[in-house]
Amino acid sequence: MSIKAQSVTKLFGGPAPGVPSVVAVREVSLDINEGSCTVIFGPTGSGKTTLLSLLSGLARPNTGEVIFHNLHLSQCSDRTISSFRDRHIGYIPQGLLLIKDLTVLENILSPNAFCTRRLKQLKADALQLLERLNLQDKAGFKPGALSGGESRKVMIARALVKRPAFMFADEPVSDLDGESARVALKMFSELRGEGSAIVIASHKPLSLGRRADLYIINKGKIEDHRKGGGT
Amino acid sequence: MPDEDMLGNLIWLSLINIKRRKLFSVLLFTMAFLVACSLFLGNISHKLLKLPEITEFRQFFYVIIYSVLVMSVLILAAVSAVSANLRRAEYSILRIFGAQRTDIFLLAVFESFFLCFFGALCGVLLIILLIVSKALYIPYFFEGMRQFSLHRLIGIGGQAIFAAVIIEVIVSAVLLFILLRKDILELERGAF
Repeated sequence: MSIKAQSVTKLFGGPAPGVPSVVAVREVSLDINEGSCTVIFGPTGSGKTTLLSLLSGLARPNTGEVIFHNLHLSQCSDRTISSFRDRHIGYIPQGLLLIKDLTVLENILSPNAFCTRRLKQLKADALQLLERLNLQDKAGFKPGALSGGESRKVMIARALVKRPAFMFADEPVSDLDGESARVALKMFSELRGEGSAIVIASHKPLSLGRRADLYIINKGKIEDHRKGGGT
Repeated sequence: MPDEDMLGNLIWLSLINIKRRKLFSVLLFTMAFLVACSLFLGNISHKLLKLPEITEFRQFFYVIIYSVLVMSVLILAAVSAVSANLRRAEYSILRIFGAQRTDIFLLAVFESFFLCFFGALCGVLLIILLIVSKALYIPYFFEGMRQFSLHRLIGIGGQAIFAAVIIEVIVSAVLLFILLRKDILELERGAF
């Protein structure tokens, strides 16, 4: 299984009518293969988040194609793309997006309630992940009682619980202390060991432990690609 | 159609949502209660009771009942619209993880269904209780009350519950359908 981006471009409308659009991603081509690790590295505003959205089927490109397993995502119906995300994609957004009235455990389970796995099994997996992330005591807490780093860990557990084939993480360790970041990256590495592909967008270097494909992005364009060049 | 496990998961999620969103749940429950009471009273008055010949009195009675019905439906529409708007961020999180529009639609329908069913059931039971205990006895209007059998009351109550649930679920579903037409995947870009 792989996801291929072929010359994808994404524009966003200007702030007012008549003002030119912003080119967030410009003719980017890249391949995400099974068991690979890809790091998209670039400064703030370089188009990393938009590129992750395009690759994970959250946004459609204006031109170019994102292809998953002979499926042209830009031409698929909403139902097909949702099903693709449900079955194959784990996503850790950049912002701290948790449902404030739900407990930590419910926050992990609720977005995954639409998949076909039993709740009991999901719950057991979620508790195991929380234990590994040292959040076992916070399972019944609401997000308001968590620090930024703890909320980030909950989002990591939420994305990992269904063991996705493709994990997209947008600045996943930006709020974490050294030890927590190491544990989170180790969990990504283990997921990769199971054959999943990991894609991480970051504006600072990461210690992944294993070699990764590095794409350097700036102003929406891939400026450099080092195969196995990132660590 | 969702499979068995997913259906179980959806029911769990709807019950969690009902529990955590107390204000909205109480409002929806109350609206269903009022709609069912209005429909039930309207129905027994129309079908079974021997109404007096004082037409103005009868019209006044109907005006009250159907005003409550219309007001309840309008308030329900407003509450549903506000609730769906407030929950856009939550729905977006679900969509990021692969929930389809129909899944979210189904989730909202389940929530409305549970609340409306229990609200309507309580409304009808209360009216039946008032009738049976003779606490609800208006001269002229309930002259034919003695001819009522309990199973007949329950039958008409069932109709009122069914109608109240259908009305409320349709109102919630239509509003959600309109709000979900816009794509809600802007969340990860911080659009909310």
